[in-house]
Amino acid sequence: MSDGLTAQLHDLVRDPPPHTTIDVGAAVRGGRRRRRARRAGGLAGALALAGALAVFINPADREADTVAGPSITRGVVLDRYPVFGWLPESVRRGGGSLSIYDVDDERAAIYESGDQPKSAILLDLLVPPGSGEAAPPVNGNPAFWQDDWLRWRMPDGTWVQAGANELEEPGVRGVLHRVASELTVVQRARSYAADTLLPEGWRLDRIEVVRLGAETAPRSWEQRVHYTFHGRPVTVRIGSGVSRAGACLDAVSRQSERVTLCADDAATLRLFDLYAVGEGLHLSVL
Amino acid sequence: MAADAEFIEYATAKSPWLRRVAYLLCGDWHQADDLVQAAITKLFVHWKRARQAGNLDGYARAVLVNEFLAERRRFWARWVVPWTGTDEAVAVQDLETALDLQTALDALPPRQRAAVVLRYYCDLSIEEAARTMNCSPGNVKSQASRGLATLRRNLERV
Repeated sequence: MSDGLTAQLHDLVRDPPPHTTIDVGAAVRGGRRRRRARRAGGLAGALALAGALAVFINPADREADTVAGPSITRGVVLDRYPVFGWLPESVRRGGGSLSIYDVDDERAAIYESGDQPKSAILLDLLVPPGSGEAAPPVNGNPAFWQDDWLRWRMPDGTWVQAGANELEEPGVRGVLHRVASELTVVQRARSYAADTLLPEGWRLDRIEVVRLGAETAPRSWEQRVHYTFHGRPVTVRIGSGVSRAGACLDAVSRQSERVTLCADDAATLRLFDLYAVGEGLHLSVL
Repeated sequence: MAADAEFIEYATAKSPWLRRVAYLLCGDWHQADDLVQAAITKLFVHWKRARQAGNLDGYARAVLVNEFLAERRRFWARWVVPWTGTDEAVAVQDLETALDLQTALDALPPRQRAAVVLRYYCDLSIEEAARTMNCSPGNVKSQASRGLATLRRNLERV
């Protein structure tokens, strides 16, 4: 499909309407105003917003929108994590790794091999109920094929779907069915909310959760918060069992949960502060 | 103001290309114009850094894609934009096929749509698309794979 798709996409935009509202002069004028505002207000803005939330780590099962503070985004709360049982050899090759994404409307996970080609098992953790072509039940629960994706009902009544990329094993459907039959999805307390209000020059790009430890015996979870600061990527790692590489800061919530914040170096770490507020912990960009 | 003149020359030359990418991302020529306007304004603010980037076109495209994703994040409820058939001068060789594809594209979530456009229209590698979307190659692979599967299903339905 992909070859034909490329040609069709080019066809779709071959003859755009001639009238356009794009105004390069207006972009220059607007850009100049922003440059002046940045120069004048950068320091004051940073100080004023220093208390704004970037990440709220909440060890209790507490709704994110009870956090005091403006502009809390809702789409980044993670509460479901996959734990794999059996996995095909090609995705374990080179030390397979699991990443979980919770961006926009996607809640997805990918387990992929460390070597090329990147064989992978893909998961969508919350999907609508399946229908259509029936698949063999998964642990007695109904399942359906949608192309080469397997969608099945979990014991808790939610639906999950799995697909594969570049598997070396023959019979994708058989592989997916076996993966599904040994997959469990664990519930965890909602852990954080993110605020879009950040000091000038900062942008929150995404939050990623990576499991530490063996894939069948997860030890702990590390949250990686990715920012861009004036075009430069900045990542901090937060969790109760993070590796202490780089520079780290420890904090204790009011429930006595110990949480560690780590950055690549001490200079980067100094841009953040982690402190207890209410029942949770706040990470602030200073 | 040599830098400003340089920006004006670049933005004027590249706007038609950015407009086409923006249209594939959002599915509406008026919104595409708005996206490009916002993107080139940001590009002007960061023009000094952009000029130093090894790939100026890639930088501009990344600004545009991030503007699209940020806009969809702010107004997430708007991501399904039904095609009304009222856009002017959509002249393609096979209009029926184009409308089907347009409808199927409109039904994709924003990040899947961005991954499909970057991979199959802009012809970027997984790694280049990941840099453009500010995410990992695995995430692009996942989004593009899901996007293709959803497109295929939607094209079968329309």
